[in-house]
Amino acid sequence: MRFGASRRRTRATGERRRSFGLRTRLVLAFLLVAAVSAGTTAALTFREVRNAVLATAQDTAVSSFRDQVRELDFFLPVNTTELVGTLRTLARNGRPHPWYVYAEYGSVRASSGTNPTSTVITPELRRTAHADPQGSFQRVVKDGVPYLTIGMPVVFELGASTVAPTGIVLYAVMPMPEEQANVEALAAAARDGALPGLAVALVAALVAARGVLRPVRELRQAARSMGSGRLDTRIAVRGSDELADLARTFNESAGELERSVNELREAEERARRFASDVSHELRNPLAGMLAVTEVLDEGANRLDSDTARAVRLISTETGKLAVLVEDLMEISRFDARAAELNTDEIDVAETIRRTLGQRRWTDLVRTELPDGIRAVLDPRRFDVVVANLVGNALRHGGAPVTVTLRTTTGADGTAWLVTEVADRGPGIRPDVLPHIFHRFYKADAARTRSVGSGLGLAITLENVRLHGGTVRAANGPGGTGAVFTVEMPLRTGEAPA
Amino acid sequence: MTPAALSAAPDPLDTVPMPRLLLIEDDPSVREGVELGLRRRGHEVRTAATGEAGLALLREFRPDLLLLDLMLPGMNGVQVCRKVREDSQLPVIMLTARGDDFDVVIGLEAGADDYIVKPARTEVIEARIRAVLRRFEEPGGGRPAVEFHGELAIDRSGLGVAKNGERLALAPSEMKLLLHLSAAPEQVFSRQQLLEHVWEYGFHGDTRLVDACVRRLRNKIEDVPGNPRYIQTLRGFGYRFGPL
Amino acid sequence: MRPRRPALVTLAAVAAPLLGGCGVPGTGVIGAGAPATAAVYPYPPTGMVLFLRSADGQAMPVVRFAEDAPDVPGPGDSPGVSTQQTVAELFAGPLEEERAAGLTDGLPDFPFEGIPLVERHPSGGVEVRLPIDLGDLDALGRRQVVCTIAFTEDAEGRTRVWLRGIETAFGPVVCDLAAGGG
Repeated sequence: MRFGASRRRTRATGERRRSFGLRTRLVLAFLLVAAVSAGTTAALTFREVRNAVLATAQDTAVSSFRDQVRELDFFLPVNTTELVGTLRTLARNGRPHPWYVYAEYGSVRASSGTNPTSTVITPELRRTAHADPQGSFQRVVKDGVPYLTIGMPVVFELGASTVAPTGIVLYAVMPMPEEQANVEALAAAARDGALPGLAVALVAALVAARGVLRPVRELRQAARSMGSGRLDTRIAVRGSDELADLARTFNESAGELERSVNELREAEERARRFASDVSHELRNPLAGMLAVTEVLDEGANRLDSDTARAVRLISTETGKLAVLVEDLMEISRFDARAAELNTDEIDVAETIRRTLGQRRWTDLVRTELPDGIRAVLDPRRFDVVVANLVGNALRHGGAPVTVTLRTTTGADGTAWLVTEVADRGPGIRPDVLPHIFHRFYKADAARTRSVGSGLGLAITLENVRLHGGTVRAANGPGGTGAVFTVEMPLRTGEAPA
Repeated sequence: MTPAALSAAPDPLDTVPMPRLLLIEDDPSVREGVELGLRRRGHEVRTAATGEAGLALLREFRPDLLLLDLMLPGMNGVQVCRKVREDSQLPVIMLTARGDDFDVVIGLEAGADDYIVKPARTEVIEARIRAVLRRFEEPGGGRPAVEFHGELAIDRSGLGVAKNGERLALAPSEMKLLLHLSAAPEQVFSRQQLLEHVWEYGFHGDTRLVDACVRRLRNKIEDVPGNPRYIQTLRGFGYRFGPL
Repeated sequence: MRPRRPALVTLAAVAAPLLGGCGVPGTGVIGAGAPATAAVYPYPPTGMVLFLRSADGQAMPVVRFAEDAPDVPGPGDSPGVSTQQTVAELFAGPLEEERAAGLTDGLPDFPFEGIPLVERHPSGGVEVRLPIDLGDLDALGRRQVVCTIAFTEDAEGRTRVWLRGIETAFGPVVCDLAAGGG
């Protein structure tokens, strides 16, 4: 939860992009459906109307052509000159539009125009007209102009009830500009009708997408709210659709999560209180015992050797126990976030010298402490930090122990105080390094009975953190012992947040 | 729990009778242990298990110093301390535990002169007792017995302070702090220096001791405690007396 | 952009028939009912109907005035036109006007002085003897001959026809004009 801040930010931007996509997809889907239905309706209507328009024109033309041919008479065999005359007459009577008339008879080709044959009439139509003694027509589009071509075989009565093909086939070729214009106007009307329909659909799509996306947006806000630690976040459940189900599920899950987290927190709180309570309860008996260790020590001299040893053991261990309990209580206070910083402006070199001198370590420790570094920090806690690190180096590292002090400037211009405690011992094993600041972590089982509670480095870490700083352990170059580096803001509490 | 570095100068307490101590502590083991340790060092010690019993014993026993546990059943340590301060400048040392920070602040505000964190070795307890009881030592002789600073009259030998002729009741730590600051008017002392010289902490003590004591002192000697004239704060450095 | 691509494709697919088909499209050949019946001259019952053929293999009727008929050897038992005459004229080939229209007879020539002989067949109908080998007639040729005979015999052309050649004979056959170009 505490570490999720940066992740949350990237997730938020990612989500914003996806939400845009969802809205777009919804709107597109709506538009698509609207376009398909509008388009299909328009297309079907258009086709029906167009076909009706064309059928009317065609039927008129075909029956008109047939009727006019009925009025004619021919010589068999056909006289070409007469035929041309007949065709010209026919051509004048085209209905509903003027047409060109062509005739085929044996090898005779004649027309009402200048060309005896037509380029519009297809071989299929000719074949059909010659093979079947019945009329047929075909619409042909040539150079963008639609033509109606009609093939009409001519039969004659042989007897009272017998007709025979004359072998004459007449063709009418009728351009259909008016029909084309009508149909194009129809298409334009269909298109112009569909576009406003689509615009209306777009508005409806946006409204519907908004309606669908609002619960999604609420869900996202709720999830983000949960992520930032407000576990009591719930969503209002509206209606009974899938999104309402989702909201209900979210609420139930959030409830479960909240319960679990609360249980965990309570458990953690209980554990912390337990440690704290135990330390507190140990304090009074220990206070009594520690107050009388002097009495024991003095009296031991007058006892027989075994009893004296036992008494001295109790006295010594009471002292260690007191240190342990004191450290435990200190840690408890950090855990309960009850630790306070009491900052003061101090001379850092002077403070470190006091820390060393007070513990009679001055002769054991080399120092490189430039004068004049003043810092705002909690002197008591800084004393604990330095004392713990130096004490640790003296116990576990090798002489000489060196304490170095310097200041650096961070990337954002803040001044930092860097304190280094180095020793010349064997260094810290790599597998131990990550755990060195853990509570009661003992790198070496043989050391378990050594001085120190096992909480020293953990308390050091907490104290440095309280100052907003860091402490890290490493091995010096070339295996030349361990180096602990403490970095704290030079002016704790005044540093920019 | 390193023993406090005691002054190498001859201790006046070595020549006077051992101080009489009253210990108010509800926990029997602490009461008995501390009593045993201190008595072993030659102190005359009386104990009480409750605040009420302790106050009753106070009038009868008239101790030189009160060791007061903060956590008491019934009347607690802070209330006892206030009660004592109503009519007496008896040195008071609180017994507390690390972790009872809030109580420490309340206790200091109530007028305690110092505090000891339990558990503590007897030598540590005795070092604090001696430090609180030690009389203020003049840095140099030849000073007038009574100094006047504004409306304040400070009697260094008689250990009395009067404002506008009216005698003020100052607790030992307050008196010592005032004497120390006024001995070098306008000189700035850091909290650490004051802890060292007034409370005799050889290592990093609790600066809240100084701050609480300054507040109490201001309440008694300043006309407007929020805008002090005598005990002035220099942010980042410490305190000074004056300039008036 | 990614989700839009299929949508655009679909939109285009929907719009294509709408926009692309907005003109007048072409069609295949569509049947449009009966042929046109026209009058011919001379009126067939008063003339001589011969079935010639066109270059593309269709039976083509021509109507000749009886007096236009060229002189052919044979008994001329008028009134009307005898079957013997029409058959002889058929085998004599098209006239110039008919040839000009691209018509041919497509029939073998009679040997010199050969004439068709027409008799009543005992079982009804008519039997025509031709001085040719019937195997030299193709299907269209037989049809030309049969129909020419049938429509000479009666106006409806329903007379049953027997043909007898030099060595072969067949019948009876009825004129079938609907057989088309086959």
